[in-house]
Amino acid sequence: MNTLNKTLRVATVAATVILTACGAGGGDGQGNNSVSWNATPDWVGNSPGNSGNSNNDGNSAGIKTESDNTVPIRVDNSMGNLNMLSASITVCVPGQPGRGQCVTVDNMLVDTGSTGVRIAASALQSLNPKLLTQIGALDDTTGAFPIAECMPFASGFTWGSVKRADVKIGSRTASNIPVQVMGDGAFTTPSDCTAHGGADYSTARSLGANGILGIGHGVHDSKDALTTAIPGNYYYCPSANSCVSTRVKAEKQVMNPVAAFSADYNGTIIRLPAVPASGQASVTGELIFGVGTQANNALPADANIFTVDTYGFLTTHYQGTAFNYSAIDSGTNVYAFADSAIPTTSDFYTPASALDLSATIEASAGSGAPLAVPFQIENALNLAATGNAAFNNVGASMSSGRWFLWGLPFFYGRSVYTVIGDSKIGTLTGPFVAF
Amino acid sequence: MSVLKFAILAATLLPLSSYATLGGAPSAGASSQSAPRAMQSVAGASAAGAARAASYTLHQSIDANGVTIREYVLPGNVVFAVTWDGPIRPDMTALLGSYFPNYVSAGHSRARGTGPLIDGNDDFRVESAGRLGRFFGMAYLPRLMPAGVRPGDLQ
Repeated sequence: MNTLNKTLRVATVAATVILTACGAGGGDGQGNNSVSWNATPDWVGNSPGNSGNSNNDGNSAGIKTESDNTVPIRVDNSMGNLNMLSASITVCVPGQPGRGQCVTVDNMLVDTGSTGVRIAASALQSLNPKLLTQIGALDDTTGAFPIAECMPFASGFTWGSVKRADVKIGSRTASNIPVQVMGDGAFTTPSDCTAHGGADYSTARSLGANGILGIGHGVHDSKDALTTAIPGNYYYCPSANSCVSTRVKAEKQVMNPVAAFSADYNGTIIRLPAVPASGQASVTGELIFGVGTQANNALPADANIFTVDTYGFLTTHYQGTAFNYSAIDSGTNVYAFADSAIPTTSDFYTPASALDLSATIEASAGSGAPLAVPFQIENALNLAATGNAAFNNVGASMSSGRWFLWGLPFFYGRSVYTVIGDSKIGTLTGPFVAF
Repeated sequence: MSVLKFAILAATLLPLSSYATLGGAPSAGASSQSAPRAMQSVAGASAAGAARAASYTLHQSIDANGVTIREYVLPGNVVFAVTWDGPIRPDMTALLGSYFPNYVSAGHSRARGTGPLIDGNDDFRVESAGRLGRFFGMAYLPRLMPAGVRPGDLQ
C-alpha cells in the first residue's frame, strides 16, 4: 500500500510535469507576442561586443566582419517544455527590401543539432503564399515542380514546402535562402515520410516552438540527399497528392542561415549565464555570429576544442563506456545518457539526492587531448516542482551504449562555439565545437 | 510476361524489405545471421530463489538503405524487441507492425523539439535518437522481455 501511494504520488507529479510542459502551447499566430529583451545583460560583464569599427582587429578567421553581431536568446516557460532555447527571427519576401513584406516569428527553437530554418505555416500567416517556391530537384526532369521536404529528427519529422525567403536574425540577413514551411498543407504527406518519420512535428503545438533555427555544423541540411533519393527526406511534387523522392543539389537544400550571411558566417557562439541548482524561471543570453572575427567572438587561448565528424558527433567516455554518437546539442533539453544505477521516473533521472558525475569528451577522431567534464544530475521531480524553465542538472535515461547527448543543461554558464563546415580560424579547421 | 517480370521483381525485393514485426514472427531474410543468447536471470523475490535460464535469439540484417536491424526473438518465435542503427530511420510501420501507432503517440506525449524520444509504458517502450545521416533506436515489449534482460542489453 505504501508502495502504491508512492507510485500514485509520483504519477501525479509526472502528470503535473506534462501539464506544465503543454500549458503554453506553441503560441500559434502570436507573432506579435513581443518579449522585452535585455540587449546587454549584466552578466556579460565588460564585453561590449565591438567598438563599432570594422577594421578587423583580432580577426583570425580572415573573413568579413561587421559590428552588431549579437541577438538575444531566451529560455522561459513560453515554449512547450523545459530548457528550450528560443530566438526571434523576421521572415521577408525576397527581392523586396523595405517593402514591409515581413513577419516576425518568435519562439524559434535555437538548435545546434540541426541545420536549416523551419517555420510553422501558422506563424507565417499571410506571408506564406508570397514566399518564392523552390523548384529544380535533381530527379525532376521538368525542373518545374515544387520541392517539399520531410525532415527526420530524433523523435519525429517535419513536413512542408521548401520556399525561399530572406531570414533576418538581429541585424543580419540571410538573403533568399531555402527554408522549410512546416505544416503548410500544400502536399499530402508521403507514406514514406510517415513510415520513416513517426510523429509529425510540423505544427507549433506538436513541436513546442514556432519553428527551428538550425545553426549546426552543416551548411546545407542533407549531405546524403546530394547523391541518393533517401526515403523520407526530399521530394518533388507534380501534384498535391503525389510527391516523388528525389536528390537535391546543395544550393537548393534548406540551409544554415548563418552560413548565408555576408559577414561573420563561419559559426556561432551560444552564451548563457549560469543558473542555480534549483533552476531559474527564465534566462536571457546571447547568440553571437562569427568565431574569431572580432573582439566578442574570439576563441580564448584556453578554449577546449573538439573536432566533430561529418554529422557533428564527438566521443564521450562515461563509466567505462565510449559513446561515439555524442554531441553538444542545444536542441536537446536534457543530458541524455545511459546509467542504469540511477533511479528514473517517466524516463527522467530521479536520484534520491543530487549526483556529482563526470564524463570525458574527446574529438571524433580521437585526436587532441580528452577533457573530463563534471556535471550534476538532480531529481527531475524536485526540479519540476519549482515551476522553473531553465535547469543545468536535468537528465533523461537512454539505454543505448553509443549515445551521449550534452543538451542545453551543458550550455549554462558557458560560451559554446559551433564552427560551420571547414571554416578556418587561425590554425584550426572546422567543423569543431569549443567551450 | 509482365506478370512473370513482376514476380521476379517481388522476389528480389522481398528479402530486403521483410523486416520482423514487433510482437510477431521474425523475418525470414536470407541475409539474417542468427545467434542464440543465453542469459542467467537474476532471481527475484517472487521466484523464491529459483534462477531460470531465459534465452532469446538475435537476428541481424541490413536493409536496402544500409540500416542494421536487430530482432530479439523468444524461443516461441515472437519478436520482443528490435533495434535499428543506420543513416536513416527504417520503415517503422514494417518494423513495429501493430505497435507503430504506439510509437507515434509516444512521440506526441510531450513537446520535445528536436531532442531524443524516450517514452512508453508497460506495454510498449521506445527510444529514438539521431540526426540526418545517423539514427539509432530501440523498441521493445516489456511484458515479453525475458527475465534478466535489461533495455541496455539491446544494442
